[in-house]
Amino acid sequence: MTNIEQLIIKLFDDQGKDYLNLNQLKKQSQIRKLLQLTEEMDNTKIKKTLLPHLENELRVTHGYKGLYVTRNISDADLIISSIRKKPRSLGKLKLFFPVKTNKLMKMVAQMIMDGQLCVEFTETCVINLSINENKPEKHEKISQNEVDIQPTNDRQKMKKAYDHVGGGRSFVRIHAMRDYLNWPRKRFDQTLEELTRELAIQLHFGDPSVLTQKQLEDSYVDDEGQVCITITWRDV
Amino acid sequence: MNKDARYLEILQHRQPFVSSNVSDPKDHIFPDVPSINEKVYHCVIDLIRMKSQNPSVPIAALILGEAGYGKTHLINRLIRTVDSHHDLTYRVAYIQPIEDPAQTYSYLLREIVTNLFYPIKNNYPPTIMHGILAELIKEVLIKSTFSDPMLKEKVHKILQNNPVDIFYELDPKMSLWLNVEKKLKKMYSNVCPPVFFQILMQLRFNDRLFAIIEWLKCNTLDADMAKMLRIKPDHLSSISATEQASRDMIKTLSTLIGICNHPLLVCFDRLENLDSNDKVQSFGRMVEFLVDDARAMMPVAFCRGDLWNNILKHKFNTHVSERLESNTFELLGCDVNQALELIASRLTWAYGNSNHNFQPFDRNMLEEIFSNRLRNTRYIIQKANKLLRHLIMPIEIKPVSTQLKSNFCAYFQKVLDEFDRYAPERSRFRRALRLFFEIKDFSVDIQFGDKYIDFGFSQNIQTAKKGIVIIDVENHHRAVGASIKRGIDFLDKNPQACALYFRDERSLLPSRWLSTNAALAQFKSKGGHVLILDRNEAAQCFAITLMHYAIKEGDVSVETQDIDMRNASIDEFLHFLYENILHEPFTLFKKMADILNLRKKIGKKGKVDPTPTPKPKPKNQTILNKTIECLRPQPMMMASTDNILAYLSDNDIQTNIDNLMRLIQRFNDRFVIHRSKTETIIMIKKEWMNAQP
Repeated sequence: MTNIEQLIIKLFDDQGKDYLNLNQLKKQSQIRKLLQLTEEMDNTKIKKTLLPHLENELRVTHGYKGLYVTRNISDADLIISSIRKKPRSLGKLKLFFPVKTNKLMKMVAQMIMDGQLCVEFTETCVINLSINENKPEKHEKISQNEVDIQPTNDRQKMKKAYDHVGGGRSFVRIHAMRDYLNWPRKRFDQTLEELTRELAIQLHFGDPSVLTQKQLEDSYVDDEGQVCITITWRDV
Repeated sequence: MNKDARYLEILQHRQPFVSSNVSDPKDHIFPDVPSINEKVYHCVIDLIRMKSQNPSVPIAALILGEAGYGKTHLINRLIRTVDSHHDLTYRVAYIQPIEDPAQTYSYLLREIVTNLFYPIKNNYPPTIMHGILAELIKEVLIKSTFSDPMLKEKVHKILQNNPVDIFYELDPKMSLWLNVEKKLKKMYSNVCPPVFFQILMQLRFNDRLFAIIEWLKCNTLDADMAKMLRIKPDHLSSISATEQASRDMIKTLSTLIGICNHPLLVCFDRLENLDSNDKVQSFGRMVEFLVDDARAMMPVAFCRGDLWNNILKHKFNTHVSERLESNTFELLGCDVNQALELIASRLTWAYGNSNHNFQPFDRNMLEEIFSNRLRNTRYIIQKANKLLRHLIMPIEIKPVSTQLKSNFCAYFQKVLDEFDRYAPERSRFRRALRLFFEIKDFSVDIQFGDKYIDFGFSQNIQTAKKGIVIIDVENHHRAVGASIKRGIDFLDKNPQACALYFRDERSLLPSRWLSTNAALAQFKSKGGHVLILDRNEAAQCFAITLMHYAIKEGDVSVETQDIDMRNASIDEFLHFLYENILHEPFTLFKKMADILNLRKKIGKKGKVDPTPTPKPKPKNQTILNKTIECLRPQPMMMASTDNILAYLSDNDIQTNIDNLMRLIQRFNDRFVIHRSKTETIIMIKKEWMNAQP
């Protein structure tokens, strides 16, 4: 983690936040000094200065009020974290959120349908959002010794992950499924290989230039040494 | 000679697996295997049938498949089978990626017209457009009364046998033609402008074909061409006026196609080449326009799945993505039976009969190889090629650059063979010329000047060099004069700079354009360079551009040292150009290098190393060893170049990124380079995972 990343994360932790508008970031004296930010610099210039200092912990996103520096967690986790900290209306969530409104609306709708979020309508037609605590967490933390216990179950879980991550589309990225399932590498790869052998899925090479190094590492190398980036589930 | 040896001898001379790519969907070299992607093919045919029965229904489709799954091959199959359905006839237009988003509709029109003037059969002059018009003429002539019974009999015989022959077997000056023209104008007066039939009916005069095509493309015609077609000479139009005219022309063509009830499938392939937002939006406009306003045309986009779902789709507005996605089909990998069928069909092609029982392969071995996974067709052919190469000795693997040269020569020859179908196209020339400047370390400014200047270039190595490139394909003296004027103005302001004016020799300036020729002489006198592209030089530009598209799509394969095959990378293509662009057959680029004084400098460097496995110098050997040492413990045995350099530095090995990349590229038998979104990643190849460096 770079010094800047450490500083910003500390700032997040202190303020109980997951993101900060770049204009607000500019106002932090220590960061301003370290990055040599000036008053005249606009968000794009700040982003340019900031990006070389970001490794794995933070990312820059485009949201309702321009550019934000955000914890490097998925947008869905950002929404969950934000609502968990403070249940609020959809209108208020939208304001200052580091995800563009169009995308945010689609994600919230999907999360309501998946049962991750609860929705309540007030008399003034305000839509209040809260976390559905009865819904189990999507990530499973399973230890290594649990690998191979329920192979059939794992295949079903992988299909579920495929449907969820792909949102009904094919050519789903392997790194995103790996991230979603959060299984030990061996367990994920074994399940993927079994499904491949059973001809239930197809592995695709795709174009690695559209992925980051982390995403590439979280993809899959097949028995021929080729990097596979996406899979499609075959309807038999 | 025993039986096996005989098989191998045949296969040595007629190699069935040497090509796994369909570079041009109009090629029909290898046999088709109908069971592969059969479902998708029939779904597309059903859509065309629906379009044919209900032309007013807006229909578009999207075919998704990663590289090697047969996207271009499916287009090939659709072209092969245009006339093989008893209840349906359709036509196919294959659209290459757009280069100039400012001319979206003009480009679309040019591509459609080029496709409509493709011959119905090889070595047979009538084009698809002749066929469409013949259908309409047939309708008129069948109902007509003839004063001459001999003529009536002749006409009816032609219409019965092959209506398109009407253009070649009747005297073009007969009064009959004028009557037909008159009737067509009257019959379709509410849907097509009369001038449209006036021009099209002149297809019976072979010498007017070029002028007719230019008119249909909404290109500005000079006085001679206008006179030949019996229309008034055009005035020079603005880009927006040409765009509007092109839209109108596409609509009229669509009406004509609709009258004949032969829907036109407009296939957009190689979307990987939509490398800017403007190009993506331009593609979106084309799709939207075809769906909504050109109802006899049905756009079908062929795209890689990951590219569409995760990138392109989000760049379109919902009108476009929803229209395309309403009919989405995915190309599937082959199971073992399909894999075997594919191999058998290629062997049958090589032997000339199907009694080969997979010789020289063992069927069980093939089944074992292909049964554990769904494989794409390219992989199957490449694998079969590898197996065959092990049997055919001796094996000489040529360096990648040499293989790419052979590939280039094939593209070049193909363009030369069909040169008439490659009309001067500014955007294709521009891409080839830009590549030349970029590989020669010039920075290229595409925003330079106005629409008459294609790009500016500059270089600050040793001495500062800068200049402009003007590519002129116009046929109107005012447009040509405006282009030359930009060159003269530039040289007035920058007397030390270089101005290059390119023109295709197929449209030389007529000597009677006195003021335009005088301007050209003035341009030359100020130090401007005029490069008239001959047939070979124009073909080189087209071949470079087409090959560049294919490489981006992952459609060009090369054989590796371990007799495997993989897709050639853009870096390798640029390297091939760098090494070869100043040698035969690239005569145009030799001339350009002479003008820019680049030849000496490059001559020293640009020698190809013929040894396939070079031996590194001791220091480089240490770098390679340490790089492998650095990569082995990494997840997936890959790391960014920054991390490798840091590792080398920690081990007291001083080198820089350029040297490291040079070494990695040179020893591409050991490493794979992945350009990720954020950095360049190096990965050890499978064969080197455990080997000692």
